[in-house]
Amino acid sequence: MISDPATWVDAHDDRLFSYALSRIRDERAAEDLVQEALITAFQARDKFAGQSAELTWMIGILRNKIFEHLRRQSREASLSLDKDGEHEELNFENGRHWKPEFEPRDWGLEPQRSAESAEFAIALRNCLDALTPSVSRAFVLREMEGVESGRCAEVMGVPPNHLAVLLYRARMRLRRCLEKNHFAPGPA
Amino acid sequence: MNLWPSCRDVSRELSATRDHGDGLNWPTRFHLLICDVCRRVRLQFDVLGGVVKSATGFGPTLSVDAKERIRRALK
Repeated sequence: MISDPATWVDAHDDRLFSYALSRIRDERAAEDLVQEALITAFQARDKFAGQSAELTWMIGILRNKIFEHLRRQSREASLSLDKDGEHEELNFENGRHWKPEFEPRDWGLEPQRSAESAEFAIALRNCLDALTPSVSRAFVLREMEGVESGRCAEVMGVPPNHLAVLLYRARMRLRRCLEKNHFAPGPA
Repeated sequence: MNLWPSCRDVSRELSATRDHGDGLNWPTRFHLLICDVCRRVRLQFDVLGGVVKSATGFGPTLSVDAKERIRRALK
């Protein structure tokens, strides 16, 4: 059974907000999406079947709002690939093998466990913030929201090969950024 | 198919296979057998894909104003 909507803000707001904020880069927009999600939940509360936890149901609604938000942003954004792809090329010697100073380092025995910490969450957010908007959107849709890549390209309004480039940039940059700031900080 | 992919080619292939669902081609698999660094990249891409889904524990919380706005909207 669903709880009293008057208690929703205190019970769920921070979880919903942190979920939204981890996927989009704008606090104000994240607040608006949480509000929209809670209003939608309020209007649909009679349909809540209780097959999942209330918060899980609300996160499902919020995911749809985030999806729509990213779709809108993609429509408004320029579709051209920016020139900063050369950034990835700097990792390689003559475009072939890793330069010693950019070689990926060992992330330790249990990187998944290390990633459960609050420090990781903060590092991830900072690293996502450092990505260009289109690269970040591609990563959020594909890896965080688990949207299938064909659908992802459709939502972003880009051809599949363009999406592949965006995702490659996202993974390479996040890999490097998280390594420097979380997994293996140190001189490099 | 590039029979002797470079580390750069392999990093691209590793990223692409996370999205199109096909297995790695054999030159890439062979490269991974002999290249520690690229094996590390593969593991790191996997970690990235796995851990970010649950990484929602960011510090900031909803502002007091936003909470109030939402409370009003729910009335």
